[in-house]
Amino acid sequence: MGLKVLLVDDEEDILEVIQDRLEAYGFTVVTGGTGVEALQKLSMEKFDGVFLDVKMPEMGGIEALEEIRKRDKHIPIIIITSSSTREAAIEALAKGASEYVLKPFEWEELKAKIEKVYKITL
Amino acid sequence: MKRQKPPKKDPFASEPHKTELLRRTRELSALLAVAATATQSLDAKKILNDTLDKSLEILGFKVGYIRTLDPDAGGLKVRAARGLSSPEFLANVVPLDSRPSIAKAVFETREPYISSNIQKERRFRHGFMRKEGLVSAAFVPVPSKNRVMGLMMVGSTKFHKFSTRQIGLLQAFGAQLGVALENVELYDQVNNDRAYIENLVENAGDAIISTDIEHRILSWNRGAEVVFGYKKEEAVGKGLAILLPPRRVSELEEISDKIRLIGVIRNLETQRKRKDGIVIDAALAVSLIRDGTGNVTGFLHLAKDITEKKRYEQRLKELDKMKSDFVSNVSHELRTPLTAIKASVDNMLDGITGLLNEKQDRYLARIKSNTDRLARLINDLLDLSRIEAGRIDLKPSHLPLLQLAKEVAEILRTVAGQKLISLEVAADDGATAWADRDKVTQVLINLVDNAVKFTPHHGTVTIAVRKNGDQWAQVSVADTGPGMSGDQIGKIFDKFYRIDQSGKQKTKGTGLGLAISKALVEMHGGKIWAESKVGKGSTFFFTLPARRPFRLQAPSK
Repeated sequence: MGLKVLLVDDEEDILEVIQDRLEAYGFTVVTGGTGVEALQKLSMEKFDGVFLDVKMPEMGGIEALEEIRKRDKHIPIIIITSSSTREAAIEALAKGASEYVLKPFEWEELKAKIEKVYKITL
Repeated sequence: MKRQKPPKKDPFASEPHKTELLRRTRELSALLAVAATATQSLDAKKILNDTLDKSLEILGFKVGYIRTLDPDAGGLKVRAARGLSSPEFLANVVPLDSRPSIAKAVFETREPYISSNIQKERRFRHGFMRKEGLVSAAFVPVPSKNRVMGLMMVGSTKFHKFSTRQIGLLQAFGAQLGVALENVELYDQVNNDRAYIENLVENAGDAIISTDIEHRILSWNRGAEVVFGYKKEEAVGKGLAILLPPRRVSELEEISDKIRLIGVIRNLETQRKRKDGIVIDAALAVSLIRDGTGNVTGFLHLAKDITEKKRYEQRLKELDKMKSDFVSNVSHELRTPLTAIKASVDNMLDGITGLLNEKQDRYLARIKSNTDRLARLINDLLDLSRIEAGRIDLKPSHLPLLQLAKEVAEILRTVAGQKLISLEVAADDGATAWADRDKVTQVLINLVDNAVKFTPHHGTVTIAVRKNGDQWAQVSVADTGPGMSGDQIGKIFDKFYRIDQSGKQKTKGTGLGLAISKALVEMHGGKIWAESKVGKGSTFFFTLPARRPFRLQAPSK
């Protein structure tokens, strides 16, 4: 498939399991722990998509999303956030996110969202 | 000897006639004088003394008294006396109990009592009259319109034979006195009532202000002094506009327009400015003041300082939000580690991390199912706390209930199929509800899921939809499970209540599903209940409004 995505979450544990899963789907995954780190990596490398947590220190996901959208109107951005912040996820959609999934989620759900955004079958 | 005939030509010219005429004139003018005092004066003491003096003067006596009924003293008390000065007599109260006495007899019978020689009458032998040396005495009642107020006595230390005319005159004085005393009583009563009401107004904790039609302040009670800081002398005569904060200068006109339209303003929450410039929250009630002919002459304002109440309300809102935020934060904190556990286990179970042996696979499956259960519990808790905090808004629409029931049946058909349970949807009469689709779906899934859980293999679960009268739609979920006792039915909607299952296969719910369902149904204005008998299965019912509630449009002016 050869798609390279940036996965951003401040929780190491989560970062690793999602990375493993995405790699199992065939993505090349680069990780970041904060919104600031995400922006730095985005300015240095070219990515085919971003998976973004909302609640993070330094710069939250919503702010990072706005910054990314200023630079790139089209890059797919999937928000991965806790379902207690459903409102934030909906806000993210309004601010240009491509899709969202609420933690804790079933892998099937994430898979379906990815297939929809990239118009592929995993 | 032949008696001389009186001269015929001028019957009133003779001396005896002249005297008679003069006397009658005097009597009449005395009676008039008493009547005048009686009607003009509201001073009981003056009336009593004047009447007694006039009576004695006209009848030519020196001794007399008036007793009236004094309920506090429990009898007839001396109110005025002449020629009787012993302290024992003046302090004496004639009781109205069984002991006989002249005063009591006159008071009770309303008949005069005349004695020409009380020194000889047995019934006076212990009385004050005899001790005071009285020889002749006349007692008359003092009657008012409907009752007897007391009695009056005139007497003499010399023998005197009372004429019918004298007694009649004395009775007339007594009657005048009765009317006068009653007037005084009524006046006192009115005065007391008035003082009572004035006292209420004055000391009410709220501001009570009357104004004329131009909003000029006419009265200002102590409550108004406290609430607004202006003294009565400072406020009366000024315009009520002194109380308006800058942003509300036109409010008096709005109030008078509104009140002319609807008659009274019962509770207007607004703001007012105190003398010291501080703006307070105030609740107002305003009504019209009318004169005797019904013309509006002004306004009556009642104002309550609700600043503290508002502050408490605000604080309560903040606390409520804090609680809600707390629950939301806690649930976030719980979900994050759960997500990590669940996602890790799933990766392992899906073979992403390498091959597992059979036991590892079984252990991981157990972790997964319990993690899912924890996740459901957190979701339910969060749901319930949002509902209880009033944070869930309904998005109602017209719901075709049969279609919804079929959708829910499809969602749960696989689960039911695992136990070979037949999941049926009964034909309905086209019932629709005005309700929030997601919430009703949640309730129905919950009920059907429960029914499937409790129904043994090869059982049946039936969803039925029908109308319940004109106003309500009713949904029921019936199962062929073990049923419930009356005691269990009473607790089934409580939080964390679980039915004890003696069997080996315990259901793994959160204990919150029915509590959430109940809250969601009640948010719609509906009811939820269960009917069951042990061994006969259970049926859960809930109702929803059949159509959009009718709302009154505010009338245009």
